[in-house]
Amino acid sequence: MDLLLAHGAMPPGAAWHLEAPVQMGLACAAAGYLFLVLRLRSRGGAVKRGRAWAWGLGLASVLVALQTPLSAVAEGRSLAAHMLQHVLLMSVAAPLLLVGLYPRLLVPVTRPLLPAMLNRRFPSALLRMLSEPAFTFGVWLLVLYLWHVPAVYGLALHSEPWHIAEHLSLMIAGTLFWLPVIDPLVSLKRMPPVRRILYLGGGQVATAVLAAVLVWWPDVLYIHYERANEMWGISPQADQQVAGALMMVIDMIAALWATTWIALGSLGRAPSAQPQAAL
Amino acid sequence: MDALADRRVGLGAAGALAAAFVTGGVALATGSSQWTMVLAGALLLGSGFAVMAPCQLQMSAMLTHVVRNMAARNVSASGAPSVARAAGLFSLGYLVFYAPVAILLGGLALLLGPYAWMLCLIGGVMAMVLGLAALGALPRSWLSRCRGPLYLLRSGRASCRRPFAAGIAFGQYCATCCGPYLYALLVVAGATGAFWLGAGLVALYSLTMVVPFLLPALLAPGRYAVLGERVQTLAPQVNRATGAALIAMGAVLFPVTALIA
Repeated sequence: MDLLLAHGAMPPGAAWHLEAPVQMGLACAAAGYLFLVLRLRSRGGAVKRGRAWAWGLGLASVLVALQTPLSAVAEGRSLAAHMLQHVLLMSVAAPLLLVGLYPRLLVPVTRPLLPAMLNRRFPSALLRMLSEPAFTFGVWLLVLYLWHVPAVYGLALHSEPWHIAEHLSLMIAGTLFWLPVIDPLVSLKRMPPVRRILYLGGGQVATAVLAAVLVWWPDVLYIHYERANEMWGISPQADQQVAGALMMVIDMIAALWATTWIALGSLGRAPSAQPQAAL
Repeated sequence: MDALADRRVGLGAAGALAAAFVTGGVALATGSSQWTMVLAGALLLGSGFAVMAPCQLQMSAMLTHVVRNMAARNVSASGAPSVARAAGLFSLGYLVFYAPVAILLGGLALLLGPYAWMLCLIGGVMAMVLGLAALGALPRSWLSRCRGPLYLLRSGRASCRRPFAAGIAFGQYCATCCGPYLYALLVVAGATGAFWLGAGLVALYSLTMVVPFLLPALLAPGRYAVLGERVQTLAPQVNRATGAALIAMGAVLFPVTALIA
């Protein structure tokens, strides 16, 4: 079904985008976290309340991005709304969910799995790759740029399976990007604080190029929104500029927040123990 | 350790400078007007993190210093409400200072019209001079204040008793450092013909500076207060990074000026 036509005629704010698989996934993530927290508490471990809040806010960000009227507006009416959806998944939900995790909480999951994985060739190589910043950065960059090529973007707008694939891959790529920065597991390769800040800076440069194209390109890049009705009197060109600005600002806020905590966090810890609680 | 950090910073600045000139040169050589503005914008937005991150760390360092003084002088007990309140008032002062700055800079860019690119050029020279001063390479007494915001604390302008006024004072300090960046942002944004975009970007800039620093102070005030005890050890590195970032930004602003002139 053509999503553009499906949502284009709806007044903004009228359509809630309720999807059972997403809601079930979020419920499972919340229940799983609760189980880990209760298990940790029952064994006398200290539960970090701030981390639990971060997990909750991360799930709430996914909920807002995918299950509210924002989703309908994003698909049919506004590139800025769609960009907000993408940024919520990649730069807000992903780091918050990672901040919510910490080694002591994850012991029941990692203790049986990690040693077995490390002893086998393929899983071990996969783990090594996932903890390699060049790999995580590369995947994030590829996914971010690929989905914003106008033809590919159009494909996702007009096909539900491609649209699901788009959001899922953006979420995974965002999580991969933030993994070496936040590092909730005792991973194989750890970056020192300065390198983590440079990694974040590299991400900002990559985002800046895409944001600059959206803000300063003289024409409307995504024709689907050119055909859609203007929302709140904002022209498609202005909508595109707002999308670029939103992308840059939210990404920058996330990167600066992480930078502040990496720098301040590095003051209070020995170098070997820094990465886990950087944020 | 310091020498290694300096070498890294120097290499980073040299890399940024080389990238800026190569990109500017390619854009000028191809002569595509569509890509010219995009490249100028990308250069500016891309260098934003390098400009804002050291400034953001200085702001956090200053607030933690203010918080530490509050605890030491028993103005109020060092705990959650006082840290959050101080951070809120400090941020409010910073935002209040930036509101007229955005209007003033926007007005100036409008008045200059087609000659607004001169703001970019002046900004580039200013950034270079401020960067060299922050690194201590220009031993002029009137530039000594550019070596970090500590003089605000020493002079009493950033007092623990008045976090709102401290926010305004830090805004003034920050506007000197980031002013050149803002000029260029305004001029490039203004070139699209949508002036609201330029003013909006400056407003968003100040918000972007405040939010990442305000959120941890509100959500984890206890930890923020503890870090205040140790934060001063970071000040020399942050000040050096600020100097290097300003020089790199100055280097970026010259090709940006060439692109939009």
